[in-house]
Amino acid sequence: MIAWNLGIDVGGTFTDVVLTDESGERHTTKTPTTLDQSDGVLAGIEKVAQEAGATCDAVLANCGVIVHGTTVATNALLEYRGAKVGLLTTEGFRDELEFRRSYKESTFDPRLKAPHQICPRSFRLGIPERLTKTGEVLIPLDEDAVRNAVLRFREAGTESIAVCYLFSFVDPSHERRTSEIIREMAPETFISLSCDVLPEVREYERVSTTVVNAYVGPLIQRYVSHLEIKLRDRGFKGELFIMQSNGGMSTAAESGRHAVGTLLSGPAGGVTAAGWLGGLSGYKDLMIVDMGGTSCDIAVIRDLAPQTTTQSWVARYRIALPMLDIHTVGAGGGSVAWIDDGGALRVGPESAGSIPGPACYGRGGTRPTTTDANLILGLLNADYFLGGEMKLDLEAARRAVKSHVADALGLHVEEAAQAISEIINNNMANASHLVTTRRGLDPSGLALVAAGGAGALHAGRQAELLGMSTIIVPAAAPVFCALGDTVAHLKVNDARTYLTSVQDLDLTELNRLFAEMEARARERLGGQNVTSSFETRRSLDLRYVGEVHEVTIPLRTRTRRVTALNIEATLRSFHDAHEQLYSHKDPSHPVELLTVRIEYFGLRKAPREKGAEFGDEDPSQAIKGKRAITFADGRHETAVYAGEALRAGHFIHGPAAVESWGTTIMICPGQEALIDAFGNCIIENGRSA
Amino acid sequence: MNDLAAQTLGAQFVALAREGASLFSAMSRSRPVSDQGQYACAILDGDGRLIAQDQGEPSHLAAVQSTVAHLLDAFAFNIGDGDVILSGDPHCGGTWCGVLTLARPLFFDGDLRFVAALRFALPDLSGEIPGLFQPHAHEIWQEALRVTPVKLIEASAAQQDLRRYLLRNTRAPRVLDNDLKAAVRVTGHIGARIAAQVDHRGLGASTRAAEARIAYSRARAEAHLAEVACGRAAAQGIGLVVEHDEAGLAIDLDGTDGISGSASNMTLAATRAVALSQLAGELIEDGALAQGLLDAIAVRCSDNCILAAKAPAAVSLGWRITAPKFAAALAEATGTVSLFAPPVPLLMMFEEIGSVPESHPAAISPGFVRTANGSGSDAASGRRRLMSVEMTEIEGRLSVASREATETGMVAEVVVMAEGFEAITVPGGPEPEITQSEPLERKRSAVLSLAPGARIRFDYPAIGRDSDARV
Repeated sequence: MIAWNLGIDVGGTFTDVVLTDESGERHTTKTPTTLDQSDGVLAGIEKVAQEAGATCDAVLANCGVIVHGTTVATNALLEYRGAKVGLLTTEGFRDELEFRRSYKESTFDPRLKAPHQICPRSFRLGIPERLTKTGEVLIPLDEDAVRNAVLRFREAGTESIAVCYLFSFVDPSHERRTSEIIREMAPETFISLSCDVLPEVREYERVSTTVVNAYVGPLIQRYVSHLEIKLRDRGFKGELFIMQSNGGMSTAAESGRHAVGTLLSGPAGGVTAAGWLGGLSGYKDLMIVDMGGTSCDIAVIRDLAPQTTTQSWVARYRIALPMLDIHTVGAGGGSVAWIDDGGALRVGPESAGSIPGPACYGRGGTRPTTTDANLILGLLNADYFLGGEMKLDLEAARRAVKSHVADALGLHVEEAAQAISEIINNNMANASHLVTTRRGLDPSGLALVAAGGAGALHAGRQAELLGMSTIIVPAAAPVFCALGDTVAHLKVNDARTYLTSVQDLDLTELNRLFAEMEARARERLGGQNVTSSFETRRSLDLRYVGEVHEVTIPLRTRTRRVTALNIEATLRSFHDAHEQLYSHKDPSHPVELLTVRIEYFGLRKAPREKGAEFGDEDPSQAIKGKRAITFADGRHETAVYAGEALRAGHFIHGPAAVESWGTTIMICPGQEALIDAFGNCIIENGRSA
Repeated sequence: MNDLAAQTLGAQFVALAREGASLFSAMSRSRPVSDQGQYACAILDGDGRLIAQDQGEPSHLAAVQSTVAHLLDAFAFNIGDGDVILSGDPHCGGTWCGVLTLARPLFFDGDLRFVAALRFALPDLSGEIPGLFQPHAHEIWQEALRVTPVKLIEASAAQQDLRRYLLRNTRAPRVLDNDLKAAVRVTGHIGARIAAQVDHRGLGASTRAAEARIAYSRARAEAHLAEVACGRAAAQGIGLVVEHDEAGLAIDLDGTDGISGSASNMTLAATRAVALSQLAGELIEDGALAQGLLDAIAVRCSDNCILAAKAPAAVSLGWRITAPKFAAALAEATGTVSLFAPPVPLLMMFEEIGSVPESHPAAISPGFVRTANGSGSDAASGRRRLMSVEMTEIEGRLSVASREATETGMVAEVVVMAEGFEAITVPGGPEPEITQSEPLERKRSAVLSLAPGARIRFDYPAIGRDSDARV
């Protein structure tokens, strides 16, 4: 009996499915995303099962694990369709959510509107209670006030209640008692306590994250339960996991409770896949550039660990949970080219989307986009878009570029298309540089992983612009996020604010905190049927006294108990990291600790990968034709290879194009590509622009 | 090289200025930088013309270029590779005391081709009262140390005597020391990146890209400013006429009051920053700030004007008191909405004067004036962040007792937690209301002695805002 595993990622347009078995056999498919995402999921499983020569029911009956990347929470927040939320705060602070620490997305725009209030003022109530910074009770919790508030929320029909009191990360007892009262009075209500969601200092960051959790929680719970019922009805007996924004997966129940952790559920799969792929191909430090229709996501992986951040904003709400650090730029295939009032050519951030889409889609779009430019330059094949499922209209692309760009700039259509391509490449390169510099890294030291439908078209030029030597185009690029879902580990993050100077650090207290967090993480992790191997990574948020920004430093210890020597070693790491990030260190300056963190993993066995034997270097049998393609250095008659005909060991000199369903790889002049044992295309770049 | 290459290289200058600003704001230990966004990073050409800039708040919009121009002028025949020069004088292209501009000239083929510059505010640079506000100053010398153009590093050798001199003239020497080092490093990073660009693309390409960016900003400014309505306004001591001219837009301040004997004067660089914000904010946000835009808005005034004060006028309160009036007048004249809110209640709090060798004066204003559509604070606040209630209490000076929206705006109340603190209420806006059990003693002119337990209430008006059906 084959034991299957499924990775399913729901995107805006397509639901991607990857089905693997124990032997390393992998089947992939795409199916249109549906309004009720679970319909698309089932349709995708049906389709991939057929490809594997099985039925949907048979696959589900023998499937141990399904890992699902979903956009339910993201869409609910982006479209403001979440639950009706009531918020209880310390009296006198009910507007912190709205004040947003005075953050504005635009300094000078007088028309900038306030964000949509997912918890309007009439649903935010102050409760008399107050703790000091050391946890002493300054004002006892007014339980009657809590009861009155809950009554009011019930009358107003709230589905969900968020609670965020000041200094609850020091002592959560007031929040816990509030939760008990809510549970007594309104047992059906979804409760989101800040001491559970984000037990860390800084009230705005905490309240925003806690309220978003309350806003998307009921939807995620309903969706996951609905999907699980459908899967069980079809015979699924395994365990359903949801991909998390931190790059790990978590149980369906945990995902419901900590729904805010699923906001990057989709893109997280791609970054996780890149880390796994890097390990497979021997590249530990990577930059993943995932270019889709409307935007381009950039993330960095160091030593095979995806980098995380606690500085995220989603739909103008602050999310301070550790999430994969994914930087999004408005640069995609559908990005519209336009001339600004200074006469400069601009590309994006506006996108033509998929409807009407680029002019060459023939769906009524008339404005030129990156995809139109790529078609004119020959990077795309009008007859082989999505493997030939969709014909592109070259003349429509030329008309759009001519009328909106070429005529205005006095250029030939090809020159204008080249300009569009260069602008978008430069936009992405500049954004990539910022992402790496902020981390104290030089992009030239990283390998570039190109994902997304348009990623491999632009990666060659990106590498030239960033001085990067290696590009990896994954064999599974079109379903990369779903691939990530199949290789993710179970993961829970936890943190506690613990403010002290490192000099005065109480090791007993630190060890007690870690033990408590680990026990809680183990409880939250679940999934004991799919893993028996656990790993804890501990880290400290440190900063020089007087600084505002802290740096998260992995704790250097091999034992469970942290010793003074471990702290000394960790301090040395801090100074070095500080120097790498900010170009200086000051070992004589006092250092303070803000937060202690753990990442708790339930490790899944790595899927077996069937590597192919390297064959002949000569790929000429895979050539399906030639066409003129304009690269940054000019027009070249270029060999076009059929992706499915390439084999491990094939060696390709640029300029060349490799066409596969869902992706086209451009190998620029001077670059060399090798198909590795796993079907990935590894491009070496010797040029920098 | 065609225009496209110039455009893409020009975009790299913009990205680099952003990168420098982002790096510096993370490295700085100065609260005005980290909490109030008082920093800017710029790249200029060898003639001191602005190529690209990014800033945390708008007071620096014109001041980086004008200060660097002064610096280059001051060292015209004595500037070389490996120098890092510094200025902090409001009357040499700056805005107010305590804000330094550090410039690193970049030489290629023996000629000065580019300058990497950072401008940043310090918590203190001496003066009668800790901090950067001197409510009773009549002359610049009462406000802070004037740092005239000096070389911090000469031919790659740090000038330790100058460094020591500066560190002895601040109440927060460690912050200044750290931020000087950070600025030197960030400008070094930018210099290295520009050198790499020149290496790859050639000096000619880089200089042409700089020219193209300036021309581009000029073209955008012309197109944008042509749409600005002209007109005149006169109120609160500001009389002005806005009219189109050949260069773009001219602001004639002929009807404006003369220099004030108080600290509410503004330098020309500060005045130009208000004009740029008010008339071309969206261009600046779109990355079009370069010399072409700076040149497109002319400010005409007499030497005696409160909006173009010359030495020895005191200027520490000009941005707070006079800038909103000027912005309001510009808005009236051009039929737009003022992007500058009236001054907020503000307290400068510091360790008792004379009691400690190192002090950390802090500007305390726990709320903000909310814009008409409730999207945050005004443009002048830039990237200012509202103080965190919990972090404030943890730091140990103050506890925030409440902070909420009201029918009329916002009210916040703080409680003094520790002994040994003094404060001044900064003139211009509504006074914070202080109540404490002990008499509120006024020592040393305006300095108040705060007792533990003292409650301070800050009332912020709303501007043009519905009460939002406060519940």
